This record gives sequence, structure tokens and C-alpha cells, in this order.
Amino acid sequence: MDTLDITALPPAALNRKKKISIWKKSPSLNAGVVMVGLVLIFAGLPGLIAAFSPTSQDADHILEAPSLAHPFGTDNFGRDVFARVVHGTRIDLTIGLLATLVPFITGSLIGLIAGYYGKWVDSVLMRILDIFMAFPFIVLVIAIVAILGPGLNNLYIAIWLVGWKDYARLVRSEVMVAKNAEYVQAAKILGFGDLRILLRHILPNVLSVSIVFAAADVVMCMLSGASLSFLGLGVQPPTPEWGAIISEGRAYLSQAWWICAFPGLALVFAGTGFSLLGDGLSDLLRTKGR
Amino acid sequence: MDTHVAEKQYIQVEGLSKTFKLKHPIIDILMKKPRKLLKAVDDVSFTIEKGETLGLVGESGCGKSTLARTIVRLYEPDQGKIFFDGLDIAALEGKALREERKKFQMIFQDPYSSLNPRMSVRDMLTEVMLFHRICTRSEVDHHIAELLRTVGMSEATAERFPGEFSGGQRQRLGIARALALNPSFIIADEPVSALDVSIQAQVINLLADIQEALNLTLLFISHDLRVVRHVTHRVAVMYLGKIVEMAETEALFKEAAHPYTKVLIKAAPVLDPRNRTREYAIEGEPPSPINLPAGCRFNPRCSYAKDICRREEPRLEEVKPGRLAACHFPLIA
Repeated sequence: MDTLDITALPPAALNRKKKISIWKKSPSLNAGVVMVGLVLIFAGLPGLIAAFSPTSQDADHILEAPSLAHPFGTDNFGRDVFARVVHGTRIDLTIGLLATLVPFITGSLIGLIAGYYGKWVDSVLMRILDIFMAFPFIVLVIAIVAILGPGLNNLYIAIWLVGWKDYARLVRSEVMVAKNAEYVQAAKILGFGDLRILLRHILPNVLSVSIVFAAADVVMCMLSGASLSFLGLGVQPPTPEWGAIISEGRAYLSQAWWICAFPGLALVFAGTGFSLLGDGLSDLLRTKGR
Repeated sequence: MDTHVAEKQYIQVEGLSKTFKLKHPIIDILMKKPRKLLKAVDDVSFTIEKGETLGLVGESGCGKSTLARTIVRLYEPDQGKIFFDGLDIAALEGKALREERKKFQMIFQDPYSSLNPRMSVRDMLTEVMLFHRICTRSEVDHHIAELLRTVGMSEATAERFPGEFSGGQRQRLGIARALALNPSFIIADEPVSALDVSIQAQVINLLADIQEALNLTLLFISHDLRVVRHVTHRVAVMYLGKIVEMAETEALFKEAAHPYTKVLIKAAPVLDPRNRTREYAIEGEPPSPINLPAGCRFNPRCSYAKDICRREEPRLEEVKPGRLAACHFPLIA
């Protein structure tokens, strides 16, 4: 027998097959999960992975090239770059996640309201959004941090103020489609209030696009955090943050390339991981959607 | 049947109108042109007795669905009254309306968009029943089992999501949701037109059985005349927002009074290989409801049209006992 009769398979086998095929079909999801997992381990248990403290100085080993003892070399204070990069993971990850989470929530709610109520509510919210859209993301963030003053908290505030616009637009367009679906009309005929319809019936059906975007947005926020720290507007030295480490190492770039290169590579690694995860998630949510 | 005795009528719609305002382009505002209006439902009146099925037929775009959605207050009526068991629901607001909503429900056309894809059958039905306090939380499971049995599905399906069901099954679930509130009036908006022909009969028979068992009053909207003939007691024919003819089903199919009804019946496909002639086929598209023709709305497509038809709009009047038609020259007199 060379053809497989699908109807002859027990449902459990079919289910398993479907799961495997999604897993196989989306190598990006696999790679993303593994890479993000590694980043999470680094962020969770930096002390177990790095032998040295990220801040203890060692005047005898200044600007040493990568070796077995110091795999990423040492910086101008003799600090272990590997330890600094590993310990920086938690800070960069926190920036990425926190700076994504808040705009994800506020933006989605704004999009929900704009898309559902339409008319003047939509017009007002969308014109405000246009103002934010008119400026490049990072320029606006830098401007706000410059006004509020440098520091991690102000960095968060700046990204929260600017980051909601993409979520609002994504969710709004999805809501405009969903609110005309018959299940929403059915909910209205059943007498459900707006709040119940919005949160229980529309929101779960419009969030998948936002979730996928958020996974990719974590990368953007990590990069923004690193960029601002590099410019001296975000995390302040001696806290080990990748952008700040690169900023400090910039002066020694010609003698000690490793100070800048390894935190840069860490950024690339984490960024790629979250991008792949977002990519894989969009595949997964699309196949599951109907 | 006397349609003028108001007290006996369970559902009584009087002079219902719904007009949509179209977008007003900036050029038109500058040129001071008035905003264009779309008269989807124009001065519609009809009645339904308790336990009766009224069919509503007409081409797509004639306002059938708008009429249905206005009756259930999904759209705000511009004018007119909707008496439901003596109470004008067109005037109700807020809590009173929500309370009254229990009694009238709707079954939708597209089974693929009428169920929330992220809610299991149990969640969906539980929410409906608890929201309207149909029963207590402990009784919910019992009620769900009973509902599912009523629509011919097993209790085991309650944990599943809409995506796991076929079109026919989804439509059954839609019916179960409508029945969850024990309504006495149901509007079925093209309930089977999205289904395979083989499934249509099952769902129609289910609806007919349930109607009989629960003594429901039904407004059955369809463009499929065979289905309408099968399930309805009386039929109203709609054309461009107005009812042009209303009669008992068999009488209407035997002999149409309005020329539009006649072509509509003739245009319906007949399953008879020997009958290959098509005497009448309706010509052209219906005129746009934005620029209605003067006089009778059907006059541009009517083969009987005379001068008066292009000047004066005919009123819906009794042409024979129990038969209403809006035509200057009804085909039966």
C-alpha cells in the first residue's frame, strides 16, 4: 500500500501529526525559542555562568585580549567583559520587555476604542497618532529623554509615550473588521454591553497581530535602550548594559575591539532570537486562526 | 385574514423606515450639494400572528436584512413603531430594552462569522444564560445539554470551538444560542443560504420542528423561493425598501398579484428537465436605492408599466381579501 488513508488514522495520531508539522514547518519558531531561551537563562542566572563580578576592577589585567580566563577579554578597568555582557542581559531584557509591555497594553486599548466607536472618537485618536507617526521613533524618544533628563526611568517613560502608536493602528484596523462580524452583532442583540463585547468578544479575536508585532518590538526596544545608553541618556555606568558597555569601550576601539564587539554580538543574538520568535508566532497563530 | 385587527397581532410593524446617510464628499460640501441618502427600508408595515411564520423575500440589496436588523434594534429606526406583544420596542432604551431583548432573537446568515471563534460552545451558551439570569450557575450544564439536544447535537460537543464544526453544525449552534433565552420571536436572516444544499433541508426542518414545538413566531428571510414556500404561512415580497405584495404562501405562489412577484417566481430555478423554457427572466439590475425612480419603484423593469406608474407611487392596498399589493394594475383583481 503506497497511499495513506487519513480517515483510518485515529484522531490522536492526526493531532500529533498536525503538531509535528507546525513544528517542522516553522524552523524559525524553533530557532527563536532556543535563542530566546538562552537569553532568558543568561538573564536569570548570570552568577552561575560568569565567574567574575561585572564591576570588580583588576588593575593587573587591563585591556587583555580574549583568553581562557577571560573569554571576552577585559576592559580599561580590568573588568571581565564576559561577566559584564552576561550580567547586562538582565538589564537589556528588562528594558526590552517592559518597554514593550506597556505600549502593547495602552496601544491595544486605544486601538480598540478608536476602531469600535469610530466617528469623532476615532478621528481625534488617529490625529493624535498622526502627530506621533510624523517623527521617527528614536528621534522622538531622544527628544523626550533630553527634556526629562537622562536615566533609566525617563527612558521607559519616553518609550511608553511613543511606542503605543503601532499597536493602536494594528488593533484598530482589526477591530474595524471584527465589529461587523455577525458574532458581534449577535452579542449586541443578546443585549451585552459595550465593555463586555469589547473585552470578551472582540479583544481575543484581534490580539494575535499585536502579539506577533510585540515579539519583534522587544528587539526594537532593546536596541533603543542600548542606543540611548550608548548616547549616555539611558543606563548610567558602571551598570553593565550592552549599549553602555559599547559606549565605554568606544574610546579603546583601536586597541581593544573586544569591549565593543561582544556586547554588540549579544544584541545581535538576542535581537535575532526575538525576531525569529515573532516570525514563528505569526505562522503559528495564522494556522490556528480559523 | 384581517391584517387590520391590531390586538390579535403578536408582531406589528408600522411605518418603519431606516435611512443611511452616505459619506459626504468634500467636493459635494463645497458645491453645497445635499448629502446623499440611502433609503434601505421605506415605510414598511406588516403583522405576524403568534406561532406564524412570515417569509420575507426579495433580491439582494432590497433591504431585507436592514429591516431585520432594525426590528431587533441593531439599527436605530428613523421612523415607525415595532409593537411586540403590544409593547413598542422601537421606543425602548437601556435596561428596559435589554430586558425585552430576551424575547426576540436572530439567526444569522453566515455560520462562519456568527460564532465567536475564540469561545467554546459551553462558554458561549453559559455567558448568554448567566447574563440574562435564565438560570443559576449550577443549572447551566443541564440547560446546555438540553439546548444541544434540541438542536440535534450531542452534549460532548460543548467543549469544542466553532472552528471544529461544519457549516451545518455551526448553524445549529447559532440556533441554540438564539434559543438559550427562550425567545418567543425569532428572525432568521437567510439561515440556510450559506449552506450546502444537502444540509439546507436538515436545518430548515430543524427550524420548523422547533417552531412547532415551542410555538415560536418566525420571520424567515430568504431569497430562495422554494425554501420560503416550504416553511412559511404567509409571504411578504420586498423591492427596494418597500413591501410590494403580501399574501398567504400558497395563494401567492399560485397567482402573483404584483408583476415583480410574478417575475421573481418565474425566475426561480425549477428542477424539471423537460421544462427548459424560461418565459420570464427579470431584466437588468434593480435601480440604485440612492436614486429611486419616480412613481412605482419597479416601473423601469416592469413590462406592464404605463404612464401613471412613472408618475405616481402605488400604495400597498388590499386587492382581494387577505391579499395586499402595491401596484396600479394588479395582475389579479
